[in-house]
Amino acid sequence: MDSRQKNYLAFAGLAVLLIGSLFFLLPLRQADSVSWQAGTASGSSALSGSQAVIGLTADGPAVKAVADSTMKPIATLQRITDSTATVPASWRISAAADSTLPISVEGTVVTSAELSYGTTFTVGAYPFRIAEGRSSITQGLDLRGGLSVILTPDKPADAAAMQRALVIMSTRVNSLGVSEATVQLENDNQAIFVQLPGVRDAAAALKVMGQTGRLEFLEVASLPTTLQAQVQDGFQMPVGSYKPFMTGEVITAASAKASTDQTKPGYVVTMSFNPTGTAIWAEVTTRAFPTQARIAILLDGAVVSAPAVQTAITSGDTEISGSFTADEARRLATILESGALPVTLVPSQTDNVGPTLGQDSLFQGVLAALVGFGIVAIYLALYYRGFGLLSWISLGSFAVLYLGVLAVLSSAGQYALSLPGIAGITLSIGLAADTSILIFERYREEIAMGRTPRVSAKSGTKHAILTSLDADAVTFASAVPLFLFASSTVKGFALTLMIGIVCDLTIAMLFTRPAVILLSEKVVGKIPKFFGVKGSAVDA
Amino acid sequence: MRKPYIDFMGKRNVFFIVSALILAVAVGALIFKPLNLGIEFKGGTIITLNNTQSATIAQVRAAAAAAGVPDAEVQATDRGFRVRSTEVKSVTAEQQASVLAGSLKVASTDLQVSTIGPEWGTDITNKAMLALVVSLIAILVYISIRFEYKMAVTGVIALVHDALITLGIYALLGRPVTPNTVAALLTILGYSLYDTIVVFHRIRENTQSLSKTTFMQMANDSLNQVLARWVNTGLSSLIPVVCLLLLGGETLRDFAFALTIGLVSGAYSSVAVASPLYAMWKEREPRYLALAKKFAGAK
Repeated sequence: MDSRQKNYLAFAGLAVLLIGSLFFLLPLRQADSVSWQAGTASGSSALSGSQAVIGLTADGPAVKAVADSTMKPIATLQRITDSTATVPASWRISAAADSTLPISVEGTVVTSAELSYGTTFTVGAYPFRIAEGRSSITQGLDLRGGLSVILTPDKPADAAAMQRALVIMSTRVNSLGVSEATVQLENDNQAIFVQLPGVRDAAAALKVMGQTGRLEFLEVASLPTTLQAQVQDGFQMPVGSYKPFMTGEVITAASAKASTDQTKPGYVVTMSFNPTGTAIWAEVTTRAFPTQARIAILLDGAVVSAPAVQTAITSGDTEISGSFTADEARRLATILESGALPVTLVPSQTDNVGPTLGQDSLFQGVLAALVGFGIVAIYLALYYRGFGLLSWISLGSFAVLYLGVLAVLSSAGQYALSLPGIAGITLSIGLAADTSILIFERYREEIAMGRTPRVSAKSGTKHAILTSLDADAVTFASAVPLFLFASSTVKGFALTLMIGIVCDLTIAMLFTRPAVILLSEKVVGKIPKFFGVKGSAVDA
Repeated sequence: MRKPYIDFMGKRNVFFIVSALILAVAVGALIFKPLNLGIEFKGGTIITLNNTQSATIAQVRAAAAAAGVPDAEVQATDRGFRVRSTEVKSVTAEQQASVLAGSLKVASTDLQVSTIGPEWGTDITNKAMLALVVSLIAILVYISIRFEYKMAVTGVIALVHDALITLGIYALLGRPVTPNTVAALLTILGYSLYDTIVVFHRIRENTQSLSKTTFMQMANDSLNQVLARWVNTGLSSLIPVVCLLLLGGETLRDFAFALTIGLVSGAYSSVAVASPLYAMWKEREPRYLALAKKFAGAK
């Protein structure tokens, strides 16, 4: 392959990368939607944009309002197609930008409703949507608003205890009903990191997380009939609505194992009790099994499991079978064994950001980055003329590739842009400009030494890229320990910077160098002034 | 257009004196006026209120006292106010903040409450120190392998110079040091070496054909050869960071301030500290001593 073909191949490679980046960057996604079934009063979804369009396959005057789970109206509905239009008629739901509460549509005439974000269209058989007000790069809670909490044990705890604490904390966080909440272990298993986007009452959420943990057993039959039907996994029992027959202290062991029963594959959970527990358990199961009545297991008032009693158990050794997966079984066993937190967790760092404030910060940061980018681009064009314009393409491609990589990582759930991340992006803009400068300077210098543009381009760009490789590598080397050891906010900064460095070198090798070489073969020699080089030594 | 030729090496003693003076002030400031460590290191709460309409700093102070915010320190920002307090219990801090926001008629969407427990601050400080040490080792090893250990050592001296000056300015101004400042400081470690590496690359290249002049002279030629890119790369890194400092809002300013000082100091030290120290050290090697003797009278 000759060298010219290599250059075109580099361009082709870059084109593929850029198209890929654009695909992830443009808020174009396969439509995901939430539908409501006939007759039901609610379906739920998080509404993240400021508006959503709702299409109803049948409509009627009863479609009145969009409400949160307590049926308090949180948004308005506006009909946007006229009443004679054929189904589906469209309605526009307008809500505040921070509405992340479950949304329910009230009205009995709704036979089926679909909620999607933004505009939906189809290509072939595939529906796509252009999301409104959603960015393809995930925003951290400091930008989109929400509560993040780092919980640490009051004294060093072993990894197993922290794992159990994690399961219990997840259950509690889920009971808050916040969509997209995340709970994860961090800091060598010495901290639990909880993120609750768009939570309204931070103090209440913090109180729920700080509970001691209460494991209770309840006969479902003892509840009022209306409540009995609602006892499903995850259901939060209204306070004071029930009376448990025993608490979790009587459990001595619980574990998950594969089912030995051929007819019921999957996993089962076994548990055993102390003498007091065995006695109570025998009495309750003897009473319950003729009717196969259910017993609900509650953690902090939320239903964890509600198995039906299959037989009277007098020995205490109990097996709960259901179609559990290995993970579900293990989770239930963990809760049974340690309903109370195995360690005392205290919030070491809490950050509660209002969504408007977060978006303000984002706006300021993006504005600053764009202005910086613009000034650098103008400076390069003034100083390097033709090559300055070339650097605009380099910087533009760098921006697309960089943001594209961040969008890819976002869609894999591995990245969220935070304020420190914006600082990392800004610094990377400078690094990208530096690389172009090193290339152009070296090129000019070799021409000034009397070499032809063609020769200068090849050797100059090579030397310049080697220099920036070393300079970038040192910056990269200082970002790695930051990423590995620093606290979670600083990690975002380091990661963003490292990605920026890699993107910068990619553009230098796939675009800037081949472009300078190709331009030097024909164009530079003809109009040397435009490229700011001396005209004396041109290719013969 | 004739390129200017500057005798950097000849003026190295001037540079050293300037650096020594600045360093003396910086170190003196650090000793006599200790760093103002942000609540992130000591534990406490920061309440940020945006869109406070016509509220004055005195009104915010009064409202904070009424809401029971302990030891409130109020500071105006471009979008509202920032209230620092010594509250370390997050639930209590949330309650105080919502009372404060309520009395100032600030919407909960325009509110930020950050609380940090005292031990956590120590923990993240220790981690930052660990990151610092590992960074320095990584840089030393990288430069020693790719270049030589003398470049690594003089480069790191320049870098410590930059870090001390940045910290000294924080101490002088009493600006609070936050984890973001620390992150920016650690980044300076890598970034202040950018210019140094560019210069060292050129010195190494010119060393290969060195026979007609002294090492010191060659180093000075190298500096002049890369002068244009030294100015331009410095500017192109500094411009975005200064934009962040001016337009970026309160949190980003933490980064931008440290980065700005570090970048300026880094660009200066690559020419005024790292390169002359390296050249002086190399000149003591026998073969370059011989060259120095040979051309002693020539210049």
